[in-house]
Amino acid sequence: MLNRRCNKIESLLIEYLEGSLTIDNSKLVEEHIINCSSCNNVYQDCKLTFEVLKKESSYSIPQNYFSNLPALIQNKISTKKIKFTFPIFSFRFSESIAAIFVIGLIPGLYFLLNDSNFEINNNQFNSEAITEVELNENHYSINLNNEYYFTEKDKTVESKLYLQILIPKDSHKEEMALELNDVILDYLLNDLKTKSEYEYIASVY
Amino acid sequence: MSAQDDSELIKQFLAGDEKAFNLLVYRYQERVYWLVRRIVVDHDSANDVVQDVFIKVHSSLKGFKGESSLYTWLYRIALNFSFNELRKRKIRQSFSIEQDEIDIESEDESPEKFVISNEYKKIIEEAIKTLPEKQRKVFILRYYEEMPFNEISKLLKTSVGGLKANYFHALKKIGKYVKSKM
Repeated sequence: MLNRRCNKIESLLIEYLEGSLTIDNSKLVEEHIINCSSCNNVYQDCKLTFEVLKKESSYSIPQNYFSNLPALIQNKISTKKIKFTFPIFSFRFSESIAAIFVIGLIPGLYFLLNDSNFEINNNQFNSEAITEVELNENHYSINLNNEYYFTEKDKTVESKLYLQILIPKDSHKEEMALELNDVILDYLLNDLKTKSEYEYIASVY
Repeated sequence: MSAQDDSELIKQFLAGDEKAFNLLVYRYQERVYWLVRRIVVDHDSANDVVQDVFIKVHSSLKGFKGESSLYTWLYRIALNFSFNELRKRKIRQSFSIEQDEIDIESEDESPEKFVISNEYKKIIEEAIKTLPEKQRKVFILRYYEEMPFNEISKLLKTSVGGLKANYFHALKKIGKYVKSKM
């Protein structure tokens, strides 16, 4: 059973194991763990952790990774800037914001995607597209960020589609996957009126 | 030439000098990468998260008030992004689309030593996964990043006493897990 002395020893154990405890306090710990089986067990567990940590192998990384990383980041930043030439609606979503903006955005997107200059070449749902999932009181709020290819006046433009979908919490997992697909396909087919049970926001840039 | 401090580089960047931002990336990329890698484990995810962290920093530096050091701010973003990545992974797994992958590659060790140390690594990774988020953060920052408790305290906005308790519980749990696997 833990007593006050045990609590005191526990508070010293980390520094003891890290080797940063004073000699006097180290003696205190050693004397106690010899006589207290409970603290001795805790000490053995922590000691084992340090021993195994010392033996674990290090991670490997590709050669020249750190030399190339800044350029990769700059490249992504520049790409992002170029993509902003498309209309953009970017939100840090919350349920209330979603409810406010959904009405205004959809017609705009409908118009955008119905524009004869645009044609979607890739409408495959990609699970990698899920960027954020929050479980709220009554639903999952799922943010998607999917890459699409648009053809604009014979020029293929890589673009991205943002969607936020609110799916009832009690949906079964398989149903959720199907619903995600349905919502995206509906969105791509511009058939937005039939899905009144869902709320979703989309943006393209 | 002495190295410019972070605040000078931030000023230059905000005045339009992209090279100053690159210098900040060079300065912090390794520390951020290893922190992220310890959390998300595989290199590809770590690479994505690290890039996202710096892109976020690039777009948010204007709002950086300098109340904490840039390093603390960066670590906070990196921690949030890394744990978000884990949450996303959990959801993707619930759609049965991807498995947890751990990329372990051999380097200069003998095959036997490599197998043993990788076995330890695997057990430690599994053990770390069983920790609650807070304990996991504290453990990684303290053990792998060797960060003093007072710095972790600023980063996670938790008292040093509370952090020590978290670290202690994490060590105990990992030890118990390791014992059960050996």
